[in-house]
Amino acid sequence: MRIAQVTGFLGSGKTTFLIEVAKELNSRGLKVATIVNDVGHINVDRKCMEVHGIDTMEISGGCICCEVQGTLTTTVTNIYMSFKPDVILVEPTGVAIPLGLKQAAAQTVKKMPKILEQSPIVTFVDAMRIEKLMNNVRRLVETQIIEADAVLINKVDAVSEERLRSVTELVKGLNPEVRLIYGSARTGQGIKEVADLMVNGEAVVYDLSDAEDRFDKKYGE
Amino acid sequence: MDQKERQLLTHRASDELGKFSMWIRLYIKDPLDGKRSEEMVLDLMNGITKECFARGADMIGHVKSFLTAEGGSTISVSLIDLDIPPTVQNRFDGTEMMRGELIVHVIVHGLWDPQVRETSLEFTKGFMAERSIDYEVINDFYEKEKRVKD
Repeated sequence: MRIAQVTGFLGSGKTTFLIEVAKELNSRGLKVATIVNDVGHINVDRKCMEVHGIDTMEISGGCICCEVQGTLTTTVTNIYMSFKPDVILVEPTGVAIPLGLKQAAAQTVKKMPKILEQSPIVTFVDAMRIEKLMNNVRRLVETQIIEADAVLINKVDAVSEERLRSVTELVKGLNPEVRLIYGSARTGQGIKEVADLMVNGEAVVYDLSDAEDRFDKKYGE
Repeated sequence: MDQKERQLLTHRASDELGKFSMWIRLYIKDPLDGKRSEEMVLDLMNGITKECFARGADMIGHVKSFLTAEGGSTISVSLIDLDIPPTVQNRFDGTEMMRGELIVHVIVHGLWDPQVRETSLEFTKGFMAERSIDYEVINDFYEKEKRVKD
């Protein structure tokens, strides 16, 4: 079973894109479950997923990447016991950071080492709004890109080629080695590629032995 | 450093976003078809967002909603910028709505959570009164733990 997490600022199109990825995985005969982690205790994303017939559970009370990391393990275990999917897609809040997500998933993998693997983390970058976001929430957006295993530049059908080049340069400047995918839920671009990455991409192994120290050094000072 | 402290430091340092969500039940005297229901939701979301900007917000994080009418018809709306048309998925089946439940999330940059909450609830009150729509707030939520200390 794979746990595949995405990150990306609010409104970057994660829910809409993941619905299409889930449909693609279903069409390949794979069983998919999703976990959404929305603001507070009132969840919109879960409802959006469920109207498409996608089995969805929610985690509330904080952000998976830090505050409720332990809850992810419990939720994944419950899904495995009741449904045994091939892939669990996890959509955290738009302020989640990849390092925290990797740590949360690693804790879960540690509890189920023979059953569960962590897929590469895909950060969604909103090609339409990136400039505004870099002006207002630069640190968060940069962190999401720098710590990503792959970056999906999303909504590419809605921007000019010039803007697309500029966003590409920005992403490569921050994370030169990152795998870059261009996507649009509207046109279907990138959906098969992200689905492939989630089920066949090299599993992420995250060392938990000094995870807290590394996290504190980076964010706690 | 414990988990709670780490979470606060991480998110306060990075986002400065005000967040609020509400779940309301609607009692509509003049039944709304799918088109008018969609307009109602869009007007409410635009109105709340503009009022947040009038009170100091400088960017939308994400304003989104999900309406469920009696019988199961749904409308979901996502707004990320006042200059970008909202994304709407209208799944009304031709019936008219007299009862419904609406979830609204308002996340904006530049206002703290209690201000977003106050702005959203005040605007909703006036908006519903203008349209003679009775409503009750089933639940509302804002992340008290992330606001600035008093």
